[in-house]
Amino acid sequence: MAKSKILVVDDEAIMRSSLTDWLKEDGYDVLAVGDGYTAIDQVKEGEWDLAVVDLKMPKMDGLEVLKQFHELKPRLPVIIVTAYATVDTAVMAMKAGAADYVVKPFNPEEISLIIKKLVEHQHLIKENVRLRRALTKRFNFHDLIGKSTKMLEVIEMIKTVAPTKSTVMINGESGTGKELVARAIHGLSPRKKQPFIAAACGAIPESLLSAELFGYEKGAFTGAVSQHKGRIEMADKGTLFLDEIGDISPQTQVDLLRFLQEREFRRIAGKQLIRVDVRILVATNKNIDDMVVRGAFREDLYYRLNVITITVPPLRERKEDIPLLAEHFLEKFTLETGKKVESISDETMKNLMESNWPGNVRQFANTIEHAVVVAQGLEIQKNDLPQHVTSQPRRAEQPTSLESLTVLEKQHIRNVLKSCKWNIRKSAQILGINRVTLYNKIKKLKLKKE
Amino acid sequence: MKRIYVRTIGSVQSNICDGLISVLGDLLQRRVKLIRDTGHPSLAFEPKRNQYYARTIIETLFHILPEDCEKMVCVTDLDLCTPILTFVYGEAQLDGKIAIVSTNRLKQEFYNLPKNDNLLLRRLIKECLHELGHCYGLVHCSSKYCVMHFSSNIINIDNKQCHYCVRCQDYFMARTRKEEHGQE
Repeated sequence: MAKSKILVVDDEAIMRSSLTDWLKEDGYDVLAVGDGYTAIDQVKEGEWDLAVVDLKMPKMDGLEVLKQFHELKPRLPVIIVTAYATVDTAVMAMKAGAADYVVKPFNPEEISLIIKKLVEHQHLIKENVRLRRALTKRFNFHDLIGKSTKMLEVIEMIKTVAPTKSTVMINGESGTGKELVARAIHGLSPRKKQPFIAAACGAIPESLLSAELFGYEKGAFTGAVSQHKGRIEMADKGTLFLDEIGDISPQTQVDLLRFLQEREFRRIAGKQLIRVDVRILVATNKNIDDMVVRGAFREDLYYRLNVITITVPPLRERKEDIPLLAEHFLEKFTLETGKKVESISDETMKNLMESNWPGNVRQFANTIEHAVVVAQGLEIQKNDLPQHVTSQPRRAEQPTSLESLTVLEKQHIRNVLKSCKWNIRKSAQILGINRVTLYNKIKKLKLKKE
Repeated sequence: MKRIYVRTIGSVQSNICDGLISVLGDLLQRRVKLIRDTGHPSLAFEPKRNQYYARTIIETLFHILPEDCEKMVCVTDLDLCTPILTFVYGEAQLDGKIAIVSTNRLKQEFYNLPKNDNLLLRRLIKECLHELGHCYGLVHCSSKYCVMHFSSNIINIDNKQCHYCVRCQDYFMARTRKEEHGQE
C-alpha cells in the first residue's frame, strides 16, 4: 500500500525537522514547508492525506491556511498545532473546520492516535468512493445502468438479439432509455463498425419525413437543389433506428412497409432502385397494439416490425437501480461541470427513491444535474433537488383515490405547466420528456391554459 | 570489520550495560563494543522542560564516531524529549548512524514501583533494537508484538517481543548485508 502523505506547515525549522523525522519513522511520506503560501501551492498541486499546520506563523496564520486548504480540498483533514494554546484559538480552529487542535509539545500517545485515526478515516473515504465507482462500472452495460431483475432481463435480451439481423421493437415510456438499448444492440452486433443512424420520426415534420428517410433527387420538390441521401441509405451495412415509430403517417407506413419487404427503395423523384443492407430497430412509447385495433397503424407493418420486442421498464418499477443511477450521473455531471460534489445525503437518497419519476431516467438525470449545479457542499442535500421532486405527491404510498394513470398524468402535467407558467421548454425539462412529446400529450389530454 | 557501538552517557548501571552488550551481539549477530562516557551533555539541556533534546545529543556525537563504527546507540539515564514531543524513550537517525535510548522512563521507579533490573534490561534491549532498526531504515511496524511497533507508553513496550517480526527481520538482514558489502 502506498504511504500516506502528510504536509507539515511550520515556520520554525526545528519543529519542521523534528515532526518530519518522527512522522517518517511512523512510515508516512512527509513534506514540511515553512509558510502558508508554499503550503497552498503544495495542496493545489498534490494529493495529501493530512496536514499539520502551526497556528502562529508570520505572513499567513494557521487559520487562514486552513481556510485556503478547505477551499481547495474540502475533505483534507487539518490538525492545528500551537505552543500558545488558548480556549479562544481552540474554539476558532474547530469552528474553522480543523480536524483537531493539539498543543506543542505533543504527548506521543495522543498525537499518534489522532494522526492514525484521521489517516484511516481518509483512507475509508477514498475506499468508499472507489468501491462506489467500481460498483457503478460493474452494472454499466453500454450506458444502461441497473442491477434490477427487470433491467438484467433487458440486458440478457439485448445480448441475445444483438448478433442477429432481426428487426427489434423497443417499447417503453418516454425517457426510459430506448435509444440506449438500440445503441447497445448495434454496439454488440457484427455491424458495430458500420453506421448507426437514428431518426426521431415524431420530431420530423410529416411533410419532410419521407424525404429524410428515403432521400430525394435534385429538383424533386421546391428547394431540392441537390441530390440528398436519406437516412436508410446512410445506414447501409449498419443499423437504422426509427424512434417514435407510432407517429408516422399512413403514407410513410406504406413506403416503409414496401422497403421492409423488398429491402430496396427509390429516392423521391428517383428512377434507380437502391438496394441496402440495413438492420432496423424501432422504438415507441405508444401502445401500437391499440393503434392497430383503432386502424391508426398498419397491421402488416406492425408484424414486420414487431419480430422481437424488448420492453424497457419505467424507473418507478426498478427503484433498486436508483442508487447506482445516482452515482453514475453524479460522476458524469461533476466531471462535466468541474464541481466538487462527492456524495448524496441519506435523506436526499430517500427522497429520490420515493419519487415516481414520470419522466423516467431522463428526468432523473436532469434532477441530478440540477442538484450538482446548485449544491453548496461536498454532499447533495435535499434542498438541492428541484422542487417538483421534493414536493411530489407520493400517491403510491398514500392513495387518496383509485384514479387511472391517464387522470394522474393529466393532473401532473397540468400542475407542472401551471407552475412553469406554460413555458413548454421548462415544463418538458421538469417532466423529463421532449417538447414534441409534451405537445402531443397536451393535445391528447386536451389541456388548456387557464 | 565494522561494529555496533553502545555508548553510555551519564550514569547507567554497569550490570545493565553488560547485559545489553551481550544480548545485542547475539540478537543482531554483530560485534558490539561498549564505550563509557561520563560527560554531561549540557548543550542539549532544556531548562523550561528540565529535559534533554535527544536530537542535539545525537548531533554532538556525529563528530566523534569511531572509524569502525557501523552504528552507535547511546544509552543514558537522562529524560529525553524532542521539540514536538513531551518525551521520547529514544530517538534515531532514520537510515543514519546514531540512535539514543533513555532508561529514565523504562525504570519501574519512574512509575513509583519497586526496582526491577531484569525488567529494565528487557525494556532497554527492546528500545535499542527499535532505534537501531530506524538506523537501518526500518519504520514503525503495524504488528504490536514486533519490536519496531511504535510505543507511546510503557505498556506498549512490555507488550512487544524482544525481536523483529519476520518482515522487519528480512528487511534488517537485507540492510545489514548491504552494509557489509559496502565495506568490501
